[in-house]
Amino acid sequence: MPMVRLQITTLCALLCGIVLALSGVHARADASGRVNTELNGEVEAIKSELLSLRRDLVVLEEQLLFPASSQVAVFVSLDVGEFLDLDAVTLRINGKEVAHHLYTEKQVDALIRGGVQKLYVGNVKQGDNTVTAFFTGRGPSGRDYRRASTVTFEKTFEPAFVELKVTDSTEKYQPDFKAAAGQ
Amino acid sequence: MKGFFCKLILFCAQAADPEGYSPDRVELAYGEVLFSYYQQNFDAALLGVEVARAQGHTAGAEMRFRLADASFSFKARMFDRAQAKLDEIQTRYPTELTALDRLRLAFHLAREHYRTGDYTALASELDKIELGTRRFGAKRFHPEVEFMRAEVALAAGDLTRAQALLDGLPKHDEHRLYGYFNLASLLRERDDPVAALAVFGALVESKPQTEAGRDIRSRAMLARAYLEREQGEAAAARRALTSIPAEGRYRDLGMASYGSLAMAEGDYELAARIWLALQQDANWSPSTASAALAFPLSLENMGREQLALGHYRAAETRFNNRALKLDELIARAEEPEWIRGLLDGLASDFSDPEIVADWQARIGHTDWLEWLAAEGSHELVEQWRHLRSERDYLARLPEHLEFLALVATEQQRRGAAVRDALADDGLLVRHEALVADLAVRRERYYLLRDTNPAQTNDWLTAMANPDERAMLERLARMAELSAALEPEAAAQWRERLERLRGVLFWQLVDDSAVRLRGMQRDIDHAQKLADRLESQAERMQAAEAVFSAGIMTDFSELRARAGDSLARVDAALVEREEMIAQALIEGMRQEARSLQGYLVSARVGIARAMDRAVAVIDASPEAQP
Repeated sequence: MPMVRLQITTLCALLCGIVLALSGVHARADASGRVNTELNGEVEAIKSELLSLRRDLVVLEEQLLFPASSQVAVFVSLDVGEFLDLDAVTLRINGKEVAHHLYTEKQVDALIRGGVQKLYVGNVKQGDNTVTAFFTGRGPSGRDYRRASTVTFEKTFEPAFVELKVTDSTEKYQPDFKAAAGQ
Repeated sequence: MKGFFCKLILFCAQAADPEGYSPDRVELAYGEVLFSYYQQNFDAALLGVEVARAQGHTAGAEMRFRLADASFSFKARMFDRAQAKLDEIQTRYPTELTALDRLRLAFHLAREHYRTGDYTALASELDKIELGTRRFGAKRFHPEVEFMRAEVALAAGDLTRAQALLDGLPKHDEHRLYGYFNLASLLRERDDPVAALAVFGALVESKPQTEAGRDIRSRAMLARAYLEREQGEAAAARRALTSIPAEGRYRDLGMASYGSLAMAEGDYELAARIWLALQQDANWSPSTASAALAFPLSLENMGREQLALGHYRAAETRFNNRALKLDELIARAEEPEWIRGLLDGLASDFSDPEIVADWQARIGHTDWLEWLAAEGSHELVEQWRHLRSERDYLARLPEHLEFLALVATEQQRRGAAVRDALADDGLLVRHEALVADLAVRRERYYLLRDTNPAQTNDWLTAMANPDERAMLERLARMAELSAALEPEAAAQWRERLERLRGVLFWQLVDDSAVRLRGMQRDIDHAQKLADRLESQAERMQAAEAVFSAGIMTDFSELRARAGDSLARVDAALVEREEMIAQALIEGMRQEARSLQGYLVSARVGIARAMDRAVAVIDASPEAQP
């Protein structure tokens, strides 16, 4: 956040013209200045330490719970998003519902700006698997919109991933749904 | 419902276009960290970068991830890390940086120089940021870059350039508002109130969309009112003060300023109404304390000495009570538990009404809360909050590690079981034997299928079943024995034996088609068996590899790391609690000193009001002799 020169405490003094009332606030602001310079480094060191601990745990957890030979991750991305105001997505793998997500405004905005959501990580059998996603939201003209996208992929020993992509089809004036898998 | 889903699935098969594109794991990992970043979840974004790197999802895009890392580190207030990442980029990828990368790098470095107040270095980095023009020739710009340029201009004293830069920003952009505030403050410092008023005026006219933007606009309203009052434009100042939002942190200040203005203009009745409203506020703040004094002062000026006397006494009592409360609070603030209890509520949200009520009950006013939330000590409280949340995480971690260790142990057990099964069941040996047997069977089958029936040993043996094969062997042995007979008898024997062989041969010829089909079935069955054994062995080998994953993890090392971190976090937390306590105590002492001033003023007021009341009584006709 940008800095502002005029402190509110100074402003109080300027406006009220009652100096007595404000002297305490001045003292408190001074104390905090010392704190910032002295302790930021310590907090940053702790943050770094915990960041690497968290990283190791996330990697370990994934290895243990979703081994490569059965792991599948499903991602959702939105390109432009003018023709679909995304509300929710339901995910089925091999006919079984495994995830349902209701989007917040912030999340939809993050998707529109190029973010990719990791919707689901789980385990599937080796061989052929089918991923189906049901998207709901508001389509062109603000009408309720429900569409699905599916992909079949062959799971091998490598971790599999599926991208569910919603794009805008300017020709059809409709959202377009794509699904593709990779290993 | 079922039908609907069937239709959907049918439809989606048409909608999906798997050929259209092929997802890239590195791009997905990058998008994933952006998803967290755009939601302002900077710690998660940083963790995403670390995990992507550890899992090899940054291959070919290392520099991009490092730039993202630097950017996220800034946002997560990890400035040393951000600087280290930027240095790394400059030294490791001097030739690989694209024009866009250089722009990004300059932007991040500029942010860092702005943060540290190094305006020379900031100007140098900003000079490198040239965003070009849009399709129709309009100049592209980034609000934060323009804001930093304006700050450089302000630091150099070039206020005209600063204003021009800020004027170019969207009217309601937060950076424009902050820039305007700083510009107006500098103009005021330079004794140019007219220009300062114009800039404050432009700021007040904006319609900010964010909380921070609305906050700076309210500040600007107060600042403008003060300047207008200073310029003798009381009416304008009054208008500015009445436009301050009735709710929010500037309400008391606005009211106090309004009361003060009314007093200065001699409108004591209006002033009294304002002070009355302000002093009735349950919250204790410098403004409400001032109102407690200013209200009887207004009454005094209105000639209501008796009433004023009563309110001065009420003020004196209020100040005395507050002083006693402060003594008690200062003593309690020395107790770490009390401070911890006070801070507990801050772990969630400053604006939570329950927290406000809690502070009101404990301390008697929420001014401290305001101070902790908004002033310079905000950083200290933020650190405390962060450490507190990390401590909660670390406190839960042993349980989580225990769970992971159990999973690892179970996988280890299963891995061992698989290895034992592979060895004990002899799956691989059985598979090899079956494959060898299949090869023999196939050879026999192809021989029979591809050659014409012939009364040869090979053909007969291949086509015969085990009983018939035994019979053929007996006939062969009998033929050998016949050699010992007289030639004539031997010839008769051989003729009979040949006849029997011939009978068997024709029987086999008759059955050959059926037998070939049987052989084919046996081969197919054996092949399936071999395939199953092979896939079972493969699966078990793969499972063994999977179960081995993670079992080498040294959980005791992880537990030790978590324990060390918890100790450090606890120590840092206690240190901050002590600092907050000290700052609170110091603030309370200051307030106590201020209260002494208030008390003196109240007592002087009492004395004056009493004198005036006595004078009034003395001057009344009833008092005249």
